[in-house]
Amino acid sequence: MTQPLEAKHSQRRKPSRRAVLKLTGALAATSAATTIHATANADDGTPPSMSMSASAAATSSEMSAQPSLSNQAFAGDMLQPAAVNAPLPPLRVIALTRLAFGPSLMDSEGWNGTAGATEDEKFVNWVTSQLNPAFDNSVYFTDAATATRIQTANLPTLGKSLPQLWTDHMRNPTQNDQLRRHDPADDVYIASFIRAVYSKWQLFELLVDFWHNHFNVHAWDWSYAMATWVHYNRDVIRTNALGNFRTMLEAVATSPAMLFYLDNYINTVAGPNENWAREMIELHTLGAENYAGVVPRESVPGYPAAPEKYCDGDVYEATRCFTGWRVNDEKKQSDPTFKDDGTFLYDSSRHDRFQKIVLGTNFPETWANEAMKDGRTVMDKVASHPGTGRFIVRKLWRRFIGDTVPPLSVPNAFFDSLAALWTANWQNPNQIRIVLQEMLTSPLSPFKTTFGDKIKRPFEAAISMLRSTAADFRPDKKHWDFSWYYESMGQDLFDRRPPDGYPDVKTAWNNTTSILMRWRFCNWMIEEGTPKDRSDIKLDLFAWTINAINGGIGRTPAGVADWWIAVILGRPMLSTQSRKAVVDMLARGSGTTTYQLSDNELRERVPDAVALILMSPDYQLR
Amino acid sequence: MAFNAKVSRRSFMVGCSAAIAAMAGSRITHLAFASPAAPDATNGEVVVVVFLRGGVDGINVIPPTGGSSNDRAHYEAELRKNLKIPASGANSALGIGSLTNPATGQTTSFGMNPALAPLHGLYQSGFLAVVHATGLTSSNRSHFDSMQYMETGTPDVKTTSSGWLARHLNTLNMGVAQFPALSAGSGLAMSLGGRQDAIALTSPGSLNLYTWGDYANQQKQALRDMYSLDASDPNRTWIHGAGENALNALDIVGTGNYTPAPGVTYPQYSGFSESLKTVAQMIKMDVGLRAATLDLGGWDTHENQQYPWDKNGVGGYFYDQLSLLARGLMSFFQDLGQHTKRTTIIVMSEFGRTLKENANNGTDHGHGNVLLVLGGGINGGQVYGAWPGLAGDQLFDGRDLQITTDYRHVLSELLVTRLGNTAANLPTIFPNNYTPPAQWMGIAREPARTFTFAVTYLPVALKETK
Repeated sequence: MTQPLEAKHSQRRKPSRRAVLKLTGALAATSAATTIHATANADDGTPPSMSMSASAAATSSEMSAQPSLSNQAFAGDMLQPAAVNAPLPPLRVIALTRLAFGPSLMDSEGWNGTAGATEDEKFVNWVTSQLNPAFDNSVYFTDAATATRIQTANLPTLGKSLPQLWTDHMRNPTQNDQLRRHDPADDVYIASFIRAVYSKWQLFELLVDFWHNHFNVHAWDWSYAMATWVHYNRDVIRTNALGNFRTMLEAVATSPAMLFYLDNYINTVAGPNENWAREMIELHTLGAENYAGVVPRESVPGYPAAPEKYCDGDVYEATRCFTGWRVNDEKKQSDPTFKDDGTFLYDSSRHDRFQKIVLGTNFPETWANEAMKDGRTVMDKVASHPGTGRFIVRKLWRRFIGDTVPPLSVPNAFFDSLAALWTANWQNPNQIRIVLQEMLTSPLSPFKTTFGDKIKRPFEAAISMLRSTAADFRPDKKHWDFSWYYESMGQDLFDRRPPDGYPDVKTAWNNTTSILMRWRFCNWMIEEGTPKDRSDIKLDLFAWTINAINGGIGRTPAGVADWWIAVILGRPMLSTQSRKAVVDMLARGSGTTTYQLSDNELRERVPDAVALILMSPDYQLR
Repeated sequence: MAFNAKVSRRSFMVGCSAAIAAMAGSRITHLAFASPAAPDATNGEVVVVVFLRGGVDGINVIPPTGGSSNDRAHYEAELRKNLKIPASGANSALGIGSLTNPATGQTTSFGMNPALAPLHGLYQSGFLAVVHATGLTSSNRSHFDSMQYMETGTPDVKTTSSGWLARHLNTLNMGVAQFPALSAGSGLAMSLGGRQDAIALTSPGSLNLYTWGDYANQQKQALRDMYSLDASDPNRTWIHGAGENALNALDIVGTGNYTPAPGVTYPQYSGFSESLKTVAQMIKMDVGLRAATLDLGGWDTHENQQYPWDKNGVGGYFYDQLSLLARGLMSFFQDLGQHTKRTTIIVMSEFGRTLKENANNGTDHGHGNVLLVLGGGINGGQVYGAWPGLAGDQLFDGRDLQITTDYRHVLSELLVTRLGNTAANLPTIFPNNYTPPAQWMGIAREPARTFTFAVTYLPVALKETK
């Protein structure tokens, strides 16, 4: 099962910026975190009550403090990460660390069984398969084994329709075990963990996480979002995660969760509320990078035929288009359309029925009076705008390729082609998978070379630890304490209050608290999982070790350490002192290559050694 | 991350820390080269920002009590019929200074809500200053938006991804600073966003990694070995620096409990006290802390703000929260002892509340507010600002207190005249065309003084309501 460790030389990278600067006698920072690349836009906000990532402003002030040599020397190097000088891991490790929640000890993600004469071929076939999942269970969007785990966890709201969720959890919640306001949110939370750890369709789960972040809604609101969270997760995000963006956008726009979260449910002609329209344009589609400001619309380049950017006026006009888009949240004796069932309702009595002008196009009154036509046309316009293609592709790039994304000002042929592909396919039901296929598997893609430019965010870190140790993890609503340790890592699921979603750059997640709390989660998992009377988490690292020993590895500290390093990291550790720390944790003073560890010693020490590997610098990289 | 000027010192610090850790058995409580007794020059001025989350009702924290204007009459008769704080008699506001309305020339005198009794002595002895009619100039009544604008220091701009305190630290000539930034509470504050070395602690000694005893030390040492690659090692990456910072935090803070200075008793059973103790501990450890943040929530009093009244009209929800704030701050100030000379505490909130109480005996989201500043280097005993008045036509949006002093003016003045930064850095700290005032208010005091804990500073018997 373990891959032979690849020779380092064949995968050696270009020399790092630091090495070059040393040669020229201008050694800059100790840590390569001071990347000279300006991030494309400073749009990465904060984790909840946590810091925001280093701003572009801060980075550029660093830039001006650096010798100008730095900028020139690396202009051509823009897409190469400055970060890691170590050799690249094998392609399998890169793929499974970036396009899955890490390799699982049991290959539940199916890499080993994928056809391919070479690793590159295998990679393309595996990615293709992941982008075209064959779900055994269409309610949970998983394979059969994972579906069984979800069923065992007893999460009954996952199968409820939106009206059922509304009636049961918004209107009639009780305090008994069956019908609580927060059950839908709790069930999705637990199911999300189960799916991330076990589902064969790993890339799909990463994309669901991506879109939940992109179309961020705070689920724990004790209101519309919490009570209908199953609908948002299942019918809005999961249904569309690999499909079409414009379709997903409308599903988001008409969901009770988003209508409530960004106030559009009370956006009326008498009292307009611009929150949804603004964030839809600024965060979900065109992005702040395409904001022209509070300027006359006529001054935007390309106006009126094809305005390159949006201005404040467009936000106000879009707000008017979305008036009356609300939730069916009341009953009216006089009007049976008002059913109070939580579904979307277009309320023409609240709609602004006069003409509007958005992104250079005149929206006549007739559109306003044809139900939802003006709002839908706004969405058509933003979804088909080339600026949206660039903004979304930039985010996908940041998610899967690296923090170092092509900057706005520097032409990059491959990036531009991806953005154009996105826009060209804006009406294609397979838009998202088409663009990802190209982004990840095109020969022009830097995907294979940028490993190490990112850090695992808390969700990826925690899930990967459970996968690396073949944990039998069975959370349910009676076993929640894992979430206490998880949430202190700072990325609690669906818990981000601001609409910009969790940041996706390493500067947001490599701070002291994030590192310490993931170490703590690791220790919790190892400590609680090592045979105890717990039903919700079990590890049997001893059994795996004995199995490997019977298969021929040495029963020595070095033999056992190297085996675990190979199965968890898939490559040698970045430094000999790291490996030594792991070996010494097993040896405790005895001969590292000679001493035969007893069963009891293995039982006691292997968990400690595995913990070190999971806490190592290597393991945090992505 | 690390700037050029700090690089070699940081490596030195880290190496030193490891060496000392080895000598002391993997645990250090004071760095060997910093004097643990007296604050030294390298530790510099500390700013502690207490954020009152929810929009504190400033007009009832520091209510108008009289003066030549009609504001007291407006307050009593129109605006706060049920929620007014008495100006005289039992449980009345504790008198402080007054302000003039520049438009009318009339004065309005102010008092402190009686719940702030523990702080009244600090005010009278010049350690506490009040700024009124200040706040965030954005006309935004969303909690989240307002907090974001205030903490990032860029009103009406949502794309700023660093905080004003972080930019202050980034531009400060800090000298040796292992832990310049701390958020006490359950996460890093937005105002410190951008500082990779900022740490978040919920309580003193709260950095337990779910390991104990010998194994905890063993694991920590092993982690130290894994993360401490030399700067010149080609295999060293950005992640190694992050890990080292984390390990240093563990070493410095440790997992033990904290004992306040003799005679100091923090309010019991309160997360706010835990946060205050955490900050006090870090300040007294002399590890170069320059900025700390902590929160006290529960101010969003839309209904029954002063429920339940006790017989004397004192007590109730708002009174109790203010009392907690006051007792906590007073304990903190006493606990700091000699460190009060170099500590400045700023108490702020994202917006004030509507001047006219609502139909539920509460108040809704408003605009202008109070801001408190405490410290040994503060010209206390005064109310600062220009008073806009409480008559109908003097209000913001017809309902709220106007803002006559942008909160950034107060922060800028403190940054430049008290906290060691320079006016040249203000455009970086508060970008987007912010213009500082032509003249400072004079809120900083030179030279700074040390507050000496003495019973006479507690004029009223403290009411322990929990």
